[in-house]
Amino acid sequence: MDAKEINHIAKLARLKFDESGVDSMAKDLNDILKWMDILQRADTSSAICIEDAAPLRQREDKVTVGNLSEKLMKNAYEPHEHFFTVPKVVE
Amino acid sequence: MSDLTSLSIAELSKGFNNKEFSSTEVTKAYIENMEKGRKYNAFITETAEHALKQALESDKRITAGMRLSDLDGVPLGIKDLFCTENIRTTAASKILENFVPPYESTVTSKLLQAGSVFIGKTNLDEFAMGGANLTSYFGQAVNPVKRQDGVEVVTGGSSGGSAAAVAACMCAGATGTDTGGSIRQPAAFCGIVGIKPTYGRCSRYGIIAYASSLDQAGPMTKTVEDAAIMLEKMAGFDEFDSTSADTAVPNFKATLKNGVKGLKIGMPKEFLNNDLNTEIASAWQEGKEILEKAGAEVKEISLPNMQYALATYYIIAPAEASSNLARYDGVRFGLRVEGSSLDEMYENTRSAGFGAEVQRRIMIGTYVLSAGYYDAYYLKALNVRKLIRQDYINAFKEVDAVLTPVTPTTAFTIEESKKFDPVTNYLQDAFTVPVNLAKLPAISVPVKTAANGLPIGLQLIGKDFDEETLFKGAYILEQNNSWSRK
Repeated sequence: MDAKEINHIAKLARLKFDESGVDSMAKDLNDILKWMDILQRADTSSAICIEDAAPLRQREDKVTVGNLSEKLMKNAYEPHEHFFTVPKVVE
Repeated sequence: MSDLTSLSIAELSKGFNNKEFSSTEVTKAYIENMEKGRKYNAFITETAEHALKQALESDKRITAGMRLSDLDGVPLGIKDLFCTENIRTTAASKILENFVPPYESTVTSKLLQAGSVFIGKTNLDEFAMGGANLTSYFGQAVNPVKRQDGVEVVTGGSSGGSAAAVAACMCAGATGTDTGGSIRQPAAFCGIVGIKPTYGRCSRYGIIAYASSLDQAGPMTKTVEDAAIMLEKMAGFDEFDSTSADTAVPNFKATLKNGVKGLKIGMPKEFLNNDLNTEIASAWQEGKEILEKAGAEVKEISLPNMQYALATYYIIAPAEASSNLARYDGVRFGLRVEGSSLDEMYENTRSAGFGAEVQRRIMIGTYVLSAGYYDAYYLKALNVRKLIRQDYINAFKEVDAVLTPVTPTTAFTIEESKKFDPVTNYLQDAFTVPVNLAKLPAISVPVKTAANGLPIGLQLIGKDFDEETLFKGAYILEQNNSWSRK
């Protein structure tokens, strides 16, 4: 991975690095990806899905707890009444 | 009366029932230890006042003969990854430094219903990502067990604060979570017991997510019996977690002393190689002999795909983490660092709020899920994960449980931990991550003291939902080991 790729992935992840940060991230990620190459040796042609210990379930979509808005808004950054605030997105 | 904080949960429970001491007395003794033990940096938030109120309530129940369970009145530490209603929960991250959950996690809610007392929120690696408690925004926890030459060593991680708190008698037991070894490795480094139950056994609702298909909660305790007592109260079906298992929770305590006669135990030959530290190898051998002497049959087995486990884990876990941690964007909760646009605000917030290791894992995860790399990395890892589970399923046709070391070495020094590069760090998890990938239960129990004075732990891995066998085996190992908690 080069600096261009690091910056692309960082943008997807909503992170940003300065120049030295990009270099050290590129070094770390290249070391890690090289180490992961071992997986290409694994023969997965026989991999079958064994039933999981606990299969996924779905539940009825119903309200079980309500009226949490006061408590939830307590963790928000400068809320306006019961609204979250963000930088202006529409001119 | 002996020091109250040296008693196990089972002993405390008996004492409460016989009215030998009160929960308030016990809680006060633990609070005193917690305050004296601040040098270990085991707690992020101490909740002494809250604990004393809970203890008082517990004492009322004890006096009225209405004790709720073996845990009623017992002071516990709670890993700061479990959401606790109205008590700050940080995941050891700057991004959640001031987060106060509006609700209680299912596991802690069950522990509260059992009457336990919460003494504080314990330190961990940031978002449970790490194996030395080094990545905590609140500073590294220190192992109360010192090397013979006096040098301080790491607690392990990510549940390092929980392990240190139990080892230094600052709480009677603690909760941990284990995504790739985060209960078992710190338990081994600090000379205590820890069990990662079968995936689905404990609800993940309200546990701050790292890698959802691997995360599991479990107890960290002084004794195997205590782990059995605590797990029984933590476990159980929960409709708020779609991966929670609708499986009955056995009375683990009732069968734990039944012995291992006739049990078949496997030792994977893939781990028996020249790279294995000689002291760890000899402890493994000793464990084998203890179990054989108690009537178990120990045989060699093969788990041919274990060599791929680490790389598989370090693709799947960061992939899930990169998705789970997308919610920390400065909008609804947590830190916000302003920017001139919405995107810039996201980037500023996340770059300032996450530590280096968390950012690294988000980057790896985003990369392996990105267009052009998904098949080669993520999909490949998912398929190798199936092979790893297949290996165990095949082994369990011949044996009832698998015995392995927990860690490649004893606890390393704080200085050493700061010099490791990422790959060296990841290699520490060789014996623990395959178990999470296969979703199986595994217990870590100290068996021996190394020449450097530090504990060595062994791990028993079981079939899906067969924690009972693990408790039986671990109990035998514990009764015959040469490591003693002081």
